[in-house]
Amino acid sequence: MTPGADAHPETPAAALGAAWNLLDALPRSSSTPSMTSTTLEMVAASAAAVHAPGSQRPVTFWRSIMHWALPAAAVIGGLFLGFILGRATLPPPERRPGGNLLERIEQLEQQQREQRGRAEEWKRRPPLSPQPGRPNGRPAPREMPAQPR
Amino acid sequence: MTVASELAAVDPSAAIMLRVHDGDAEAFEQLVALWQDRLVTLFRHHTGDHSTAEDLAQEVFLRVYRARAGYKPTAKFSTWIHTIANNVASDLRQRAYRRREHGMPMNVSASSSAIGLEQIAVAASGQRPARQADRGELQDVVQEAIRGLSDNQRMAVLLAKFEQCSYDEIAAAMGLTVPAVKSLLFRAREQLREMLGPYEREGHR
Repeated sequence: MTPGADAHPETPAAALGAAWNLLDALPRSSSTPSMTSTTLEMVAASAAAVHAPGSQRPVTFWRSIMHWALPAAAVIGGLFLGFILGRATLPPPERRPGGNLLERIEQLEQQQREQRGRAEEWKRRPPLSPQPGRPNGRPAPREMPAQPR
Repeated sequence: MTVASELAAVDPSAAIMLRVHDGDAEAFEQLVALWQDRLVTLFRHHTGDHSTAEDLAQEVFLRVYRARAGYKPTAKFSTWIHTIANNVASDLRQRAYRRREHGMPMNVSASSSAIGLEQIAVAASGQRPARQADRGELQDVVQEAIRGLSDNQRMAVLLAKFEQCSYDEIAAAMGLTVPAVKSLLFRAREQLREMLGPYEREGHR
């Protein structure tokens, strides 16, 4: 069914049939006599341009390069440069914070062992004996020197 | 009966296009000769300018030639070429829009939907002394009315009227759904009735 030929007369489209028919007043255009030849020449020129070496393909190639390869190269180059700069500015291992961590741990363990040994030694020490002449073991109070008169 | 001869009987343009697909230059010339007047008519009424219409028709043929390698006769050839024609018209619209954006003068009347209803209504109203518009005047008024439609409405109307396309074919060519095309054509016909009412009542045909 074509849009202009509505089978249902009750539809608005059918009511507009007269306006639709007015479009028949529009003329059919005809092309100029040379149009066929100019069209074929244009298509031939376009085909020749496509097949000509160094015409279309490099443009497409470079366009694709511009679209993804250059940004990708920039990212990779940036990462490489960052790696090189990081290596160049990094301090030697012994000067890095936490660089000699194992040695430090060993020192701490040694300190702990020494502290533990001292503690054991202190525990094994005999208790303090009371001082002679004093029942509570306290030292005798010092006598005040005589004041000059 | 071979597949090619069956196709030639059903859709002669598709059979010719298959020869173009195979690299037959003579077939392409046949195709141009067969379709150029139809395309020029379509674009002439779409843009309102004959030389622009020829340029656009040539652009369609150029795209047909470039797409020949991928052509498969899965649908009617007319639907395929109408799709290309609609794309070419859309590109023209976008170029015209960009020109407008950049303040450049327009050399085509593709965006002529700016023509006011009043202007058309005046032309079609009783201001004519004898209300006896001859065929030339009627053509002008109808052309103005067509130009008063939106771009999509105009393309749908032209495909329906001049190419006798069905709703399905118009929908396929314009990338729309069938209900959308029906709505588009209904609104176009309403607008045409509004603009061409006086002539309609006079019974011009």
